[in-house]
Amino acid sequence: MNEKLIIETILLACPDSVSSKTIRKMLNSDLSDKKIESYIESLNNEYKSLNKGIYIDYINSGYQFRTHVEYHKYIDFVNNDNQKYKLSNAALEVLSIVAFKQPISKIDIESIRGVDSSGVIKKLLDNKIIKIQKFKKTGKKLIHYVTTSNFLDLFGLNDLDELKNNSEIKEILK
Amino acid sequence: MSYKINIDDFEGPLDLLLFFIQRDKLNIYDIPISKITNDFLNYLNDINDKNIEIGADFIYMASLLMKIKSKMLLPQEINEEEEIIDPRQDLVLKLIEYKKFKEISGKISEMGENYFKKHKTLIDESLQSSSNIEDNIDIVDLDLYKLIKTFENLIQNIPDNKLHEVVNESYSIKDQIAIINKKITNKTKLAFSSIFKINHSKAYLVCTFIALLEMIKNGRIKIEQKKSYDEIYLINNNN
Repeated sequence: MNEKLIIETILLACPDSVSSKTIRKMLNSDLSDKKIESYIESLNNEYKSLNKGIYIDYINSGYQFRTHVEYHKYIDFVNNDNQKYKLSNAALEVLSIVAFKQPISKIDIESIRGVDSSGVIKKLLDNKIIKIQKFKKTGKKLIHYVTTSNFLDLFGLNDLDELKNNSEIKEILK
Repeated sequence: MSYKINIDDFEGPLDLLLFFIQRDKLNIYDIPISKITNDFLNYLNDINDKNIEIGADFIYMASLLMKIKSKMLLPQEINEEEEIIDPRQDLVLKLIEYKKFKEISGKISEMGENYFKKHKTLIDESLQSSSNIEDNIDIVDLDLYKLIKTFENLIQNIPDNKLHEVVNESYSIKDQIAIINKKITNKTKLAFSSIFKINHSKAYLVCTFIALLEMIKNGRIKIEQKKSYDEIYLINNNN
């Protein structure tokens, strides 16, 4: 069977971002990352030439079907997920601090913001945008927080470096 | 004051100070402490007049500002390298650090706004755990968050008695540790649900849960779960 079409169906069937490693496992073959990338590129070119409303994005270290921005207003009402993730300014502040300083404790987050952040942290945990780092990894007694893959998914990031290398953010951090 | 300021507009005292600095185009490295302290206190008075409770964070900042202001009046302090210590220094650094993250959060918000318009395939959340092919099927260490959530659900299932009888419930974490210890000693693992029975009182359950956390911290036990929504097991670490 055609590998390219198998990859296309895998991506359609899996709503989460699918890594090259997983694609290899599912195809039971040793396709190179480059080869997979070229299949994706070829699929995207097909969609483009046919003027389709969907494309495959490279996000969260894997591939995922997404709709084009232009069609947002037609499907917004179906996708309640997005409502859930409407983040407050406070939540965005905590999230930025965790993203750049992780793993970070609640005390350190609050020291930067100068204000109690318990409620906001809980909300971010509940929405799985941040999580508690395993004690084993930090070796620290206090609970430390890190961002999740869900965070990357929400903000269209491939990895954390992409955020750190964002030119506008680099300018702010200078 | 000609400005109407709303308390909800600010994320905290640092945010309010940044607002004053930007509004009056002040140099953040050379803040006129006397002026900004007055603005800050006026703002707190305004809120007070509206019968809105002032957060401890704001009161702390007010006292900090007044401390800095009084220090500015005293003879200058000199550090070991014979440099003059500016009493405002710590506050300035804090403001700059906070300003950075406030700006980044604006940028991140923009990124999220743009990306959420690119929808992904919808999925029924109840199917999520089985559809997530990236999920590791091996036994994974359970994270603390899941454990706490499990306990929260458990506690919520306890019916609230309308009639209340005051009884003396004396449980101690030490006792509960001993109980769990006794239960797990000759076993390799123990089901989470077997130590938390619904017919126990809330006080008993809370005490047991804290005991459990304590034992995890000490390395006496480990917690494991095969996959999401499965039974959680306590693993005897002394074997």
